[in-house]
Amino acid sequence: MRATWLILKKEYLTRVRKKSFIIITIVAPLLFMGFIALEIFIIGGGAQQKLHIAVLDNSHLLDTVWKDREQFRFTVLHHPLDHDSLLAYAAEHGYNGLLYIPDTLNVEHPGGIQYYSQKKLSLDNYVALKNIIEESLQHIRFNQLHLNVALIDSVRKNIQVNIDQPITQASELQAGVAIAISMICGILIYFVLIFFGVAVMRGVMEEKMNRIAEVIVSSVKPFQLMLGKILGIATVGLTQFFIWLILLLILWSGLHQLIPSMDTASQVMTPSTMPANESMQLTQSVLAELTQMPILEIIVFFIVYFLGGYFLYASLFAAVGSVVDQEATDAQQLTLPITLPIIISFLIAIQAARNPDSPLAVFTSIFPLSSPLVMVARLPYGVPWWQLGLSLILLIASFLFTTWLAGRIYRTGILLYGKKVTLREMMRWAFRSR
Amino acid sequence: MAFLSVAHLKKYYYQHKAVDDFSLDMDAGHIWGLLGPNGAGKTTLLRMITGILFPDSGEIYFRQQPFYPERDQRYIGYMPEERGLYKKMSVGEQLIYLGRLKGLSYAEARKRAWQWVNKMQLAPWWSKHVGDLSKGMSQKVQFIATILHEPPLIILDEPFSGLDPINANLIKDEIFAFSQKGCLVIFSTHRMEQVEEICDHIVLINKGKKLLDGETNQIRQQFKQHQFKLKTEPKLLPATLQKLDLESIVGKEDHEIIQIKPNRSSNDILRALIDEGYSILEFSEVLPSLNEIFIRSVNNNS
Repeated sequence: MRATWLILKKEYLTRVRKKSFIIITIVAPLLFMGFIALEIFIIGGGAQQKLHIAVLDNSHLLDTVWKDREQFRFTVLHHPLDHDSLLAYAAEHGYNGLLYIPDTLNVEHPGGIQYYSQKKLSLDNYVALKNIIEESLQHIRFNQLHLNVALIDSVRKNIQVNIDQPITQASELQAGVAIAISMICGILIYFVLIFFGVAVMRGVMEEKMNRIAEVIVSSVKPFQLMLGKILGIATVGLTQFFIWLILLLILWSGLHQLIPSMDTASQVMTPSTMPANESMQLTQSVLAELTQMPILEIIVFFIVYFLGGYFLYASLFAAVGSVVDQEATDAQQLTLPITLPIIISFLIAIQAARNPDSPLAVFTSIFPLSSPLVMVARLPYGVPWWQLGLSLILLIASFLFTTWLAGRIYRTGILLYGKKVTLREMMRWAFRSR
Repeated sequence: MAFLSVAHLKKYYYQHKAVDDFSLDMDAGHIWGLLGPNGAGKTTLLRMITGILFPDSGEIYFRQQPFYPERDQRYIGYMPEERGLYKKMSVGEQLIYLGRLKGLSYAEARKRAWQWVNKMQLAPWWSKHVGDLSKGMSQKVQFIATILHEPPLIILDEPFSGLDPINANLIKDEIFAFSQKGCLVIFSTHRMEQVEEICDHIVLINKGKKLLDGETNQIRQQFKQHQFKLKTEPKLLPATLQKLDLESIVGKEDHEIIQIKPNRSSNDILRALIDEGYSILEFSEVLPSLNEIFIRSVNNNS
């Protein structure tokens, strides 16, 4: 116990006193925000580009429709074109696509509309384009039936139904905030698992290369050395979280100062709220939603799952570090079986952030190799207690097992030099009788 | 019972017997030399004695009781052949840390580390990183780390490699001092002249098996081949050698080394030489060097 504690303290102090610790503590959140911004850009950014579409309307039914829209810019072609050369024409003249409307088009049978393009329309754009055409055909129909189009449109616009589902389903904003938190948690866990796992591996490798390992294990058990290192680095991680949490609190109270009406922000619709500009209002309501989230619960379980996942993977990283002999090339080959499940879990976690109750998300949030990432992504939506409990029990059991397994590989590997070790050999060390 | 006693120690690797049925008793207050060619199993043997490796079978008794690494490691100081220190840790911090791992309190470890660093003329480097030290200096740091907790059993694997004669003497003196205080020192090396100089006992190991062990002088007696160093006036003539049935092994400018048949005594030879009219300036028995013993035993064994 005493030895493990001494090793833990040494690992912790040497790491925290390094300049790189301070730099990472400050720089990582910035990088992280950059990453989030990129993520949002990639997810939301697809529709940003306006499509320039050439229109060949042989029916001349829809002549008035082709004004600029949010997503589209239309150019109406007035000269006839050979039906077979439409695709080539669009490409040659720099259009994103060419919309072909046959002369046979009529309101009863709106068939035969074709879109020629190198690239398929995204779902968003497809729906939008379809709506534009459908709406105009509707208008034609209304006119044919002598209905007052303006009246109908005004009736439509005035009846806006929002079905609130305060218990079962989140509002759009609420869902957005939940997705954001899920993603942040998932990404954060992903990074810390890899980052601190690799730190453990590097530490072990360093001790082996330096040959200090043999000196140390003549004083303490190899398992104590491994455990001390893993715990020491975990403490470094927790220190970092703690610092970030404090920074977050400062940021939070800063926002509080900045937006005094935040407390009333949950009633944005009441006339008492000053008609501030739109983005201010949005910020207010996002903050309001945040206060609705089980923040404390999320933070506590985040730390619990960080520790669980870290212990699970760090001991495996330590085992790999102990058998590596000739620097990085060998290490990469052996770390792949460890990083792969983390990466796959990360991808699932990103999906789970949007779809937290899919069978895949539920299963992987209980399965111990993926639960630290996926469960954390599900947390903002609320997770049934039995799932949390089961997942935690499995996680604890698994990290006890991997730590035991890694310890057995570690104690042989750390004293072995000049030999390439295969996975099979590692397994033999782990499961032999002594 | 001996201070350190190993009985029928075995350690087999995959298809290789690293240590094979090794038994030995060692008493406190002695300096033992552990000799053997490369790959003889020295390091494996030492690792088992230091509790780093578990023997496949056999027993180790240490301080009159079965060896139990967790309890007993603090009574052992081990300096492995491949030196290892944390490069980015200062000399002082490192010694204190390693001392505390051996059970010293912080204050005690600090006090002793400071004393030793001064004794070994390392004081100016107390707060320097080990990575910035010369090889000889870090070697001395390693030695201090090994004995800081004043263990009754000190195991040194090639302790002088990379040291200049002055620093080697510094450490040699400390080794003698520890053995005088009643510590058992085990000393593994290939350098025979060091063994002859330092060790009062030796054990020879080859292919995991013990070839011989005992007091250094006795072993040399055991291996003596009735050779004598002879210095005469005038120089010994070949005719005389033939007449007295002697064989000259080494003929130097001023002396010869002669081989005497085992059935004849040195006194007979001496008398005969005097009768031949030589005046004897030097006549002494030549004991085989450990180097010869080492080579002969290993060759006989394989």
